[in-house]
Amino acid sequence: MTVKLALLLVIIVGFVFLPTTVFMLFGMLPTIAVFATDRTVGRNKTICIGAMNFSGCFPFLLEFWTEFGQQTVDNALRLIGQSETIIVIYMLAAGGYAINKAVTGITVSIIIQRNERRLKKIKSEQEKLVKRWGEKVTGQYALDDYGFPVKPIPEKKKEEDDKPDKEPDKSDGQNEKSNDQNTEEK
Amino acid sequence: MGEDEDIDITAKDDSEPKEEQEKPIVEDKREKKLAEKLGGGIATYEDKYFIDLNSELDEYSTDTVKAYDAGNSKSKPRGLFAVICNPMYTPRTNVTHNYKKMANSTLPSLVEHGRIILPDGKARYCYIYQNNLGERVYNSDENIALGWKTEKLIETLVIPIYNALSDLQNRDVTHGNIRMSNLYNGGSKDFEKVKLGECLAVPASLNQPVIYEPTERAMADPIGRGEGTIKDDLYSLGVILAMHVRNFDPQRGKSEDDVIAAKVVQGSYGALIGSSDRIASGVSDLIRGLLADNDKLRWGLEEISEWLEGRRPNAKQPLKVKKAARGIEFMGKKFFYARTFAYRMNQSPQECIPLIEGNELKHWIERSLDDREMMARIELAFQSAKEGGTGVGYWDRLLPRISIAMDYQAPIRYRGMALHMNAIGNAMALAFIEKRGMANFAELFNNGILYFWISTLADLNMDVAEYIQLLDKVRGFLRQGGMLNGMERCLYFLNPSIHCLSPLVEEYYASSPQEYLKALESVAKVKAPNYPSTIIDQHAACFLISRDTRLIEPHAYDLTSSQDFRHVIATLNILAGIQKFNNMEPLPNLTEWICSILDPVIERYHDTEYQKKLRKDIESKKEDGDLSKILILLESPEKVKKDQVTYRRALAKYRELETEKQVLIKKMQKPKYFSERTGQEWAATISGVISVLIIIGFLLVHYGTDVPL
Repeated sequence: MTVKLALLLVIIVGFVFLPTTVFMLFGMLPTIAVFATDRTVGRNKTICIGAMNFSGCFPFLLEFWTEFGQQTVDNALRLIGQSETIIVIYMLAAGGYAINKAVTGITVSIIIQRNERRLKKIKSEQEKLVKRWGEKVTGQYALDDYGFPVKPIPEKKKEEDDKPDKEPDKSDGQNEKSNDQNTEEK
Repeated sequence: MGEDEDIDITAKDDSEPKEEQEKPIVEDKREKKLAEKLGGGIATYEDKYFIDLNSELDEYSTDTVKAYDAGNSKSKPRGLFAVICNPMYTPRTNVTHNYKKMANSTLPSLVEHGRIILPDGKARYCYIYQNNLGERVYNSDENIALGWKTEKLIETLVIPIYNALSDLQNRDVTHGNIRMSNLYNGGSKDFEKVKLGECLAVPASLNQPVIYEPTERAMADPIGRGEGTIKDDLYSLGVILAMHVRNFDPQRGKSEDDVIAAKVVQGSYGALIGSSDRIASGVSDLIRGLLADNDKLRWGLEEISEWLEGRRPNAKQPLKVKKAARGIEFMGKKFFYARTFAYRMNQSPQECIPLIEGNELKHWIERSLDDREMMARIELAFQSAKEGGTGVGYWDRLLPRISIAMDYQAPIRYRGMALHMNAIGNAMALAFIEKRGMANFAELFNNGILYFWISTLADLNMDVAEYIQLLDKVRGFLRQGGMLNGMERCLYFLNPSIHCLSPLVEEYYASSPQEYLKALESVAKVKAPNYPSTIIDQHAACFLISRDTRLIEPHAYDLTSSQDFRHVIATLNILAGIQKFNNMEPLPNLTEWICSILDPVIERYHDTEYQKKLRKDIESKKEDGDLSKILILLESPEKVKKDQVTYRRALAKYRELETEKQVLIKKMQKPKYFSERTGQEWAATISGVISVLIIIGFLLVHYGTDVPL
């Protein structure tokens, strides 16, 4: 209900300030396009591109409000039609795309590396625990009241446990782009 | 077995037996275990006395024990003699302490006794005496008839042996070895007073021929005669005196069974001194009194004292043994006396079954013997035997009961054994050592024969409380399972003098917990480094609990546990306890042994680092040979608690890490779900910051400080 009211309000304001609305409509087109396709939680991509897009629109918007003449739809269209305007606005929007891509890529890489390091450390700590306390510390075996296995630990199981843990599949991250549309957030 | 016809036997006894009529001596089936050959060398007793195993002394040796020269000097031990006990037989350590306190010139002076170490490292029990007995007076116990005069008899035999027996009785010790071949001249051929030989190395009466024993003891196996009483010693004295005063031996050439039969039929006096033999009346009274078959009527020391003073003690008429009007035929012979029939019956049990099944025995007792009390006992015997059914084992239960009913004074007979109640311990010991016949004892305890015997005595108003208590305890041990019960426990309970028969230490003759520990030390030295995995087995456990309950009872549960570590820690506790309470010397070899089996205990600590430290500490303490120090390292409650606490923390920590690992793995399988979101958040943030900076920068550039907003 609140959303509908807010939407109604936006529409009313939009009509009241129609020239600005027209200008912003064309100026923020990259953001609108991203918004339509962005399925991420929080729509961070939209925010990223939208912020840069807006920063591109702002000087021209200010100019439209102060120096350009009367605030009419024709003037708004004339302003947006200037090549300088379009180039600046869309370049900055492209910058937003670039920032999104670069930062995301770098972050993913950092996180993956950090996780891998952490996994190695966990494995190492677990091995130390096993070395110090025995296989029974893994919790895989039923223990009596004193903490000793109820049944003897079979030798084969020990050998299997000694094999290195399976490495996580990194390829999923690289294939993320193709699966982007099917992303589901938990 | 000789015929029981009065007339025939009397006729035979009246004259010197002619060679052609002499009966062959029946082979004695009750074999004694001969003394072992020890080889040469010097055996040592606590580095104080030395025994020359190359110098055997025939004078003091018997079939069952050997005697050797002994002394203080290692190079040529002399001045003493040592009797080395036969490991098959239990020495009389229960009376040794009292004997040692005596100082009687008729008896050998006991210098020392205890465990000696043979040259090969094994051990034996040994008695060391002063070597002042002289030579053996008689080399045989057979065919002796010396026709001595009364005065010589009194001076040479009666007074010294009476004095010895008086001293022994004051110390509550029976001799049990009074016989002709155990008399010595004190070193002088014209001796005036005889000396008695040693009596402690074998069970009482083991080496006594049947002629020296009252009938009921003679009927028993040599190992089954029991400790005996002063009255039995006096009987033996009576036999010796009879042999000295008579002019011929009525039992010459007779078998042991014939001698026993003669004693039953004619009485001991009649059997030993022929009716035609003329003996001075004074000494005849003495011998008659000493040879009374009923031990209540037999002369004691008081009567002898009176007799020596010239007074005539009151003559007690012996009870006449009931003779049947008609004999019962068995094995080609006719028997007129219940005692002799019962004795013979048990030598051929299978053959008497038809007599019993056909009621012939019952009829004989009822009509020919006319003994209603005996008949009542026979009926009870049948009833009692039938309680276990009449199937398998019925005759094994019935025959001993019938034997008891017919002759309750006789030894208890079962499957070829003939034992008195207080000799069961010694007989069991022999069975264990020989490793045969144990099942017979278990059956004897469990099938009610002993209770039947006790109830028979109780019906005759005899004091049986002690026997009931004993038997109840024994049956309790057999009923309960486990390491601290069973036949082994019965053995050590019934035979408090026996050494530990655990296979590990049997040859080291450990007869006390301290000696057990020393034996283990020797075993450890020999077996290193291939130590047996178990130290205290059932024999050792039963031996230790019988010798000192305090040692084992606190650890009984752990010792009998199926869990290795419990058994090991209990073993260490017990051995450390023995070492500590007896202030024993260090035992480095035993310590090494026990440390080799400590793994299950060490591994009860979860922390392998602590295990390593513990092993290191144990390694460093091992050489001290102090088991208590090892125990302290292992049984620290604070360390156990700390180990448990840190282990629980480790378990929780591992779980935590595993959870984190699973989460990370999941995240990395689909990085766009987790990592990209973070990246995009950062991108949005950075983008937002850059866009704000761009806007602010534009405003500053375009308007300076005059921002139209």
